[in-house]
Formats: sequence, structure tokens, C-alpha cells
Amino acid sequence: MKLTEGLSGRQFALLAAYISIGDSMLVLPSIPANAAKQNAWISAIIGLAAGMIVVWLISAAGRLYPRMTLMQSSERLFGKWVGKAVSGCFVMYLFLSISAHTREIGDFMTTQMMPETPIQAIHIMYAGIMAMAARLGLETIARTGEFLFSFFLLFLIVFILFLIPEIKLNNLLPVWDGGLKPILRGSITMTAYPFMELAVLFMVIPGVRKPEVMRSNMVKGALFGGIVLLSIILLSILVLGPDYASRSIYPSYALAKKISIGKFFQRLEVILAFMWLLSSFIKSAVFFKVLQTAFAQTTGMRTDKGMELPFSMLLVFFALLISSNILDFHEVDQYWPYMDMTFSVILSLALLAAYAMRRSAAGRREELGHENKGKD
Amino acid sequence: MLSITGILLTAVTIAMLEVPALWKKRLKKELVLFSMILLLATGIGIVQSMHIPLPNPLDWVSSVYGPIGRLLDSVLN
Repeated sequence: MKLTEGLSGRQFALLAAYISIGDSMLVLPSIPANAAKQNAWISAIIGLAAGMIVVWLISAAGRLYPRMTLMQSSERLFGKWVGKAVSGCFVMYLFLSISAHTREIGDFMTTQMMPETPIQAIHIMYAGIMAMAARLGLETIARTGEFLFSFFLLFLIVFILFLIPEIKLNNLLPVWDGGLKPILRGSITMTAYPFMELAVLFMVIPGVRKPEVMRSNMVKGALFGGIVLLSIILLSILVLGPDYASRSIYPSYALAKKISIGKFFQRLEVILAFMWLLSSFIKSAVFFKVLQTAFAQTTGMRTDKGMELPFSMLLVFFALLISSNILDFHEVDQYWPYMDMTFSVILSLALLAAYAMRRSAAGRREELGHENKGKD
Repeated sequence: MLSITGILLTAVTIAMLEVPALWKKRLKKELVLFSMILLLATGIGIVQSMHIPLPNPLDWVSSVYGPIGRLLDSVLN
């Protein structure tokens, strides 16, 4: 029984926005701030521009076969075995990403909000609701995101408006100090975490009701997400100053603690925590659902339901396994962007190249066929 | 000891929740994969709760992508 037929364009755009904001909202700002100091906002603009190119690439590759998931299209384009290998790597990438998201939630909750709770308890609850979300399906996740988006927007506007009095424009000076190189270094992560992780949408595109609106909605969603991240990075530098923003693990959380209107409207950091938990949850729920589908299609299962609970149990332990402590975990920023790059830019380019090669080969065969027919 | 019991109980509960439906539909491959993932999770969980160090999968990722990161860092420094 199917109550709905896929995602509307708006839901798809919101999923793209949630995925690009995702966990990046909290963990991203310190990375460009670390590399480019007060020029991190320039990094963010460059990252946003590069990110749009990435989104364009992903949607171009996704448009080749709008009714096929990555598993099916890569098997058709690369052949059975290479296709299976690509799918297998993608499954592992998805699982590692979800483990990292879960660990981020666990680290954040145990260091900032609930220091006496064991991290496993948070992982178990998070993995549990993800299993539930994946079981209910992509449409449910998308509608949850759609419903909660107005709250997200309201909190975001409150957050930005209340921080405006705290802005110190001097924090932006000196502009362009240190040249282009540190700015570019900061923009790599800014491109990778929000936009390259949209590669997961390869698996969601077949669920969009009207394939022709897919690209414009994906760009819209990603652009919205990028602008939100840009404004948060800009605000962290303007309010906290480049030093504090680069040393803090969660600059935007520190930012929220700065809100104080007339000494009685304070402690609004929970608003930020809510926004972050919401966008991270939608992001990892989509990843988790996509993991189920990807795993089922790679192994040739007949249904993509039923594996949620074993995977969420594995997730609880993997989230602990992937790093020994919170500082060690931040080492991932050194190499994770390049893994994202493999599964978005390089994979898209490979799909497009394989498609073009098959097309031209097929075209040549057709031409030969016509010539032969002419001779007869 | 307590955590091992907990992990085993969870695994049994998950199996009891999901296996009958798979069994009824005669989905053999699904059953095999289901038990593999569940056993893997239980195994990792038990080893972890006994504080035996396990290899970190991110170390493998880092050995693949780390050199690219370091190269780009040195170019952009």
C-alpha cells in the first residue's frame, strides 16, 4: 500500500537545504575560521560558489537516468562488477558518514548539554529514532522536514536578529590579510561538508515526482543552506572575533550564548541546539534510509525494509569505534573532505563520462547500421 | 558482564522482532544478510564492552585520503 507517490519539488528542495545545513551548522564554522582567520567569510563565499558547481554536477549526473538510483545507473554505465564495486564503496561511505554524524551528536550533547550522561545513551536514542525514521520511509522524513521548517526559519531569524547588537565590525579587519592561500584552504571544507555530501541525493532523485523540477529545486535548497551557513560563519567572526571562533569547537553555540537582550532575554543557546539537532537529524535520517536502499540494491535484496534495527545497533558501536575522543575526532577534517569529493565530484564526472562514451559508441553503431542498410 | 548481557538481549529482541516476518515471506538472502549484520554488531559490541582495542575504520580512510590532504595543505601554505 502506497499512500503517496514520491516527493514534491518543494520537499526535495527542503531535503537539499537540510542536508547542506545538516551537521555543518555547528561543526563547520571553526574550520575556515582556523584556516583563514577573519577572512573566513571570503572562504565561505568561495565555498558557496564552488558548491553550486558541485550541485550542478551532481544534478547533471542524477539527470542521466532520473528514474534510477545510483546502484542501477552505475551498474548500467560501468558494467556489472565495477558498478557493484562503486555501490559497495558508496554503502560504506554512507555508513561511515552516519557514524560520524551520530558521534558528533554524542560529543556535542556530552560536552555541552548533558555532561553526566554516558555517550552511549545518546547514541542508542539517536540510532533508535533513525531506525524508526528509515522504517517509515523517505516521504515521512521529507514531510517532517517540511513541517518543522517554519520553526527552523523562525528560530534562525530570531537568532540572527538578536545577534545584530553584538556585532563588532572591527573583527573583520584587516581584510585579505595573508593572501589567497589560507582563504582557499578554508573554502575546501566549506565546499565539501555542505555541498559534496549532497551526493546522497543520487539515491533520492528517483523518488521525486517530477524529474524535470529536480535540478532547480536542488540548487534552490543548496543555495538556501549555503546562505544560512555563510551568515553563521560571518556572525561568528563578527561577534566572537576570529581567535575565539577558530579555537572553539562549536563557535555557533558559543555565539548563541552571547545573545543578551536587556540582561533578561538570555540563554538562547538551546534554540541553536534545536536547529542543529533538527537539521542533523533530517540529514542523517535521509542518509540512513538511503543506506537501507543502497545496501538492499547492492546485495540484490527484494525489499529495503527490515534491516534498520541491525544497522542501527551496528551504528551505536561504530559511532564509538571511529574515534577515541573528541579532539581525536576533529582530525577527520584533514581528510574527510576528500572522501566527500570522491563520491560527489569524481563519481559524477565518471558517470557523465561513461554516459557520453556509451552514447557516442551507440551513435557510431547506429550510423554503421544505417550505412549497411543503404548498401543493401 | 552486565553490558554483554544487555547487548545479547538487544540482539535477541531485534531478531525476535524482525525474523518472523522475513521467515514467513521466505526471504532467504535477506535472512542471511540480516543475521550477518546482527552478528557483526553483537560481536563488535561485546569486544568493545570488554575494552579490547579494535582497529578504527577511519584510520584506513585516513591512510587513503590523508596524503592528498597533506599535499594540498603544503601547496596552500
